[in-house]
Amino acid sequence: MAAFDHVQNMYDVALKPRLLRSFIKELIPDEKQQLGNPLELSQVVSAIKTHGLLSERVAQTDDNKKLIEKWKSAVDLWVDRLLMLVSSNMPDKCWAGICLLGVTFEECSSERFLASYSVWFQKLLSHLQPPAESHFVKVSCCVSLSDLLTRLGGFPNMKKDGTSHAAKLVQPVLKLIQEDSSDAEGAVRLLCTILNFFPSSLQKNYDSAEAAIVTKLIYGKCNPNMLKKLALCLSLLPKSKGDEDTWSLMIQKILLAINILLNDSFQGLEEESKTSETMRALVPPGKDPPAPLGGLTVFDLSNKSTERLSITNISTLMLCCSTMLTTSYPVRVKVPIKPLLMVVERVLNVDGSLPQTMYPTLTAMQQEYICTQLPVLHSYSLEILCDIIKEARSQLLPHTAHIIRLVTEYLRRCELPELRIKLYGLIKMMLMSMGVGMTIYLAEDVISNASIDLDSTRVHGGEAQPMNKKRKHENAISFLENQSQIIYSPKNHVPVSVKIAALGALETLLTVGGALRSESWRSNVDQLLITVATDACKNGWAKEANDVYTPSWGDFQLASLRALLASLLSPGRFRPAYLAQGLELFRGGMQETGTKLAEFCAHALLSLEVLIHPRALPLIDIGSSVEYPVNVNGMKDKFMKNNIYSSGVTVTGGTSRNEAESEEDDLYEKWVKDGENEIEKNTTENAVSIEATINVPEDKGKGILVETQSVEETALKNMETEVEVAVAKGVSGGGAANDVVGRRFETVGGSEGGGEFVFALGDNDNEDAAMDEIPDIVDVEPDSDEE
Amino acid sequence: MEDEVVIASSSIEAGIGCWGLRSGAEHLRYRSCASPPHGLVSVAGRFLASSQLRDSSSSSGSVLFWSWNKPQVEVKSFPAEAINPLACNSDGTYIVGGGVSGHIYLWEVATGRLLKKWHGHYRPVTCLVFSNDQSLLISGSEDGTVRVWSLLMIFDEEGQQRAGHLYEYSFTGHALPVTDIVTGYGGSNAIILSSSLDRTCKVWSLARGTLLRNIVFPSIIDAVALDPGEHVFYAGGRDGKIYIAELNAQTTSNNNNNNNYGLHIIGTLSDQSKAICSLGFALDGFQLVVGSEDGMVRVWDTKTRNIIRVFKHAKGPVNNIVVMRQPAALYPRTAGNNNNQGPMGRRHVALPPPLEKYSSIDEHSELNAFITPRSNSYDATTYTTLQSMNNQINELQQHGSSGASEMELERLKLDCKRSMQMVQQWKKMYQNLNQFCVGELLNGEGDETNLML
Repeated sequence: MAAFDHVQNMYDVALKPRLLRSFIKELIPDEKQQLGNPLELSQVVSAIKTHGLLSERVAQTDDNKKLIEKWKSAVDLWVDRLLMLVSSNMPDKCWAGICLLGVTFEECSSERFLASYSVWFQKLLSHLQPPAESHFVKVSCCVSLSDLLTRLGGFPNMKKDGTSHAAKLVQPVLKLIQEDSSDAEGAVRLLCTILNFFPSSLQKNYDSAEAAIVTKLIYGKCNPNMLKKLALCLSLLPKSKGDEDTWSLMIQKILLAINILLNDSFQGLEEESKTSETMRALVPPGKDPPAPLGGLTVFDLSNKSTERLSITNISTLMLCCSTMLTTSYPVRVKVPIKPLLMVVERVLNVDGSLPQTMYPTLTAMQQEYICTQLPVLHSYSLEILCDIIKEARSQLLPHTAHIIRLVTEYLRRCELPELRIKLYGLIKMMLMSMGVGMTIYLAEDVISNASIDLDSTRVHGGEAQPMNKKRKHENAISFLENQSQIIYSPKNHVPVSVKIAALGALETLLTVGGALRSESWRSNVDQLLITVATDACKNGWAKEANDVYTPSWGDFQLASLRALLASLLSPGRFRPAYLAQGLELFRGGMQETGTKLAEFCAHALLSLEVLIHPRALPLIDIGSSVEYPVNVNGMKDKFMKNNIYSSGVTVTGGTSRNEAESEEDDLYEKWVKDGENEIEKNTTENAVSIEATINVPEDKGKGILVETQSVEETALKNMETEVEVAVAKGVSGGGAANDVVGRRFETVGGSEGGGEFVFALGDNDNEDAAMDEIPDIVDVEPDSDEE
Repeated sequence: MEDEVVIASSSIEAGIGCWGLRSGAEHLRYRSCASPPHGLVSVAGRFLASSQLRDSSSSSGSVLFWSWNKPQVEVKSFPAEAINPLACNSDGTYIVGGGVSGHIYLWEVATGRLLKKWHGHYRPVTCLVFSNDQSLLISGSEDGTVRVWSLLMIFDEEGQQRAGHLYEYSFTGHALPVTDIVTGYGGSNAIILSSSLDRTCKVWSLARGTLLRNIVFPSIIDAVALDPGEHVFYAGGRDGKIYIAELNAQTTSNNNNNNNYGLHIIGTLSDQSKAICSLGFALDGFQLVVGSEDGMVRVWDTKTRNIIRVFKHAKGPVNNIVVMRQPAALYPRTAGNNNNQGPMGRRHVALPPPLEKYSSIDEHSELNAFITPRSNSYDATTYTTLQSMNNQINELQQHGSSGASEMELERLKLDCKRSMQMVQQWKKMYQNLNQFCVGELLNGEGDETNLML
């Protein structure tokens, strides 16, 4: 290569083969050379990835022919060199070769891959069968093979070949997993890949695979990461048969194993009846229990393992449960919701206390140990609940009441920050999944708990008000729930992370059901949220945390602002009381350029803009010259009017609005025969529109579609006219329908007094009257059941 | 672009018509269906279900299922009584039916089991709709009531006892049977719009359980449709006109006008046809699909107020209109798109079992959920060599792990072995050299002596 044969720039394709060659020459050792610094290898790999040195992707033109040749030979050289390294007897060179080959599987062109993957496969297989000496070589070999199969799985027409190749791997991989060493890491990963792409290759070895995985899970003393992978393996295993029964059997086996272990560990902590009940739910009387999980008998699972082992095993198996629920499966499967819920309930109900009715059967030391392990079990139980809700969605309806009771009950007792955070997350999900129906159920509990969490230890100096509020809520609960007197009262300082979770739950509550029957709590919650937000933000904006895991003050600020936005936007009956303060906070936050908080504040201001300038945009662009038809029966078309009006809705458009009105006067005359009324109407309306912006009268609980606040005097002034019209209508219209309507209007005019003149129907008085006419199931006012 | 289909059925036995909204082409016509109003649903786009009008002599009702690609009825169910309206939640998990006795039935689609049956009204149920978030059910009845049910409460016996009644709200504003109900957006703040034989439409607030607006029409309204922007709603009258009534206008928020004849009505769509029986909006929110008593389905453009398409369905009234995304099963079979149809594509979807007549649920019956398969082609393809290699390089750099030191050891051993070989070699060479030198020397001496000689 000539010294001055320059390439155009760094994007030039001609650069690639040259770069590759020079890498091979300088950095990849040949037979004689030693492997240099391994860091150099990672440099090579990163260069290969950035420049796509192995892709061989060139346009097939005549000019490029030479280049293609060049590149092809360079890659040939690369592959040859790697294969040489792979068969080297020096472990480090062999390792380097295997790793680089793994990268090649991912990077090389499809043609090259399909042409030579079986050669590569054989080369790598020779290091697993018999297994190589070096740990590094074994692991990297498994990982590379996993990448090879991943790539192969991407070709839809290679399924058969892939399966036959993968089948060769099964035995050595299972052997690696069984061996008590850390080699299993790569092997488990490889097994997952096999199960993902070529599951049928494991069909013959199903039982031995199950045994190997379960043994490793139970006795392997694996680290959490490894446990997760093993659990994934186990949940993917039914794929190898691919039918519904295998999956159901597997989860049944796992649940059975969990329950057997629980029987053992919770002895003396729960009633005996619970135990037999759960077992009955799993194995209905008269049916044979399934073969034990992984061939481990009851004896293996419980007696042989010491107590310590068995509790960790429960959590491991629970992890398997939730992985099974979340891992996708090729056919539709039936999830045994009831047994799952029973396990969850069983675990959540045990808090380490000894039942009073029983003579203590376990020693203090045993209790101590169980207490240290319980939080883990609880955490996994909540996880399973989450997964059930996520996967079953609307099908959960028959069980939801059960879940709600479970969750609210636990919410009152749970004190550990980590678990509370999980619990709030779970509640958020429940609210999202079941919307309005769920808020009716959960609002009370969520609000009381969240306000305790947010109030009890205010970091920036407490105020007198929180204590009062707490008391009030406690009363509310005990009034509602006579049967259980447990009330959540944190003994320690509530960490920021819990507060963030509580804010999240409140935010979701407001988002989903802020309007429904919220009269009793909305104002309290709104006040709480503005106080939390102002307190969080009053000492300036915190720096964003670099650490993802430990939430910082900045995260708390963000969470409080999010909740505040929900409280401002959630539908209410009058202007949000803290709109001005909220806007101020968001404006301030937006200055913090480059942070998530600023981003959110910008979004908040945009959302609030609609609240300040309500839009009822016309269907049609008024500017366009479309002619709108006049209706046949003489009714004037009022679409245009409506459009103009809608654009005039904005508060600022006072003058344009008047113009619109005056233009329409003649239209109105045709609609409303009584000209006098018309004039009066216009004047009152102007009065209302001016006063509405400054005056927020007390909320009367009446429905208005577009919120306009009325002024009582105006209403009184017009009351007479209203009744007159209503009566006139009732008489002139005739027929049963009009009669009823007319009568009810009179009632309104008589009893209500003022404040309500826009839509007068549907308040409680009238509803009662109507209920007398039509017999009802139970004569309780629909609105008053919660009070 | 994905097409939408218009599905229509009639009260006389004319089958279910199915047309592409944009293409105008008629797909299959599903046979033998005579449905009551609100009796036709598409169950989450998977199949069609319709309750059937039956002669009064038979005691049981009838609900039929059709799969998309077969004109014949595939599954027949016979509930305990005649079912009028049908509704189905967006997941397609439950089918709800309203009986002539006022009972409401809730079936699980996957198993056909009757999960709940409760007394909803005193007269036949006329319409059933799910709220937007699928957690509430709204029913209307011939007794003029509109009731809102929380599905959670329906299943929660303890909660019922505490509350004293099943429904969340019972609206008793209509004096005559309710003909149609629609509900709008807004979650807990949504509105419910009901129409009735008493010539009114009423707007109810879900959040407060109150009447927001009462609109009196010159004719009986049999069908209503809500503009997606909830700016106006469309009410189909028996006089053949579609009235446009405004929802959010403040102009009329005045005490004088509350009961004025024709108030809030801002226009009509009319082509002098017969009574309007059903309405439905296309997904774009502009095209209004109208089923009429004369057996025609007309598509109006609400922007220009013109009829843009007419489908001929039957001689009888078109009392059900469903507009939905075209289900995958209705796409024509072509060689090209067989692969990219996804899991729902060509495969024939087996229909669920028929709906139960009487509930078989007791304490011991399992109530399971089903997880349907999802395509996992996105999350599985991750390559791990690079990550694993970098981890190992890290270990090597730190010389910390046993693996790294083991490899180092191995390498040193081999190095050592090679060095030993080298030593051997050198030794041998030295010996050779030595021998050679000695030989040379001896020979040289000989030579020298020769020379000397």
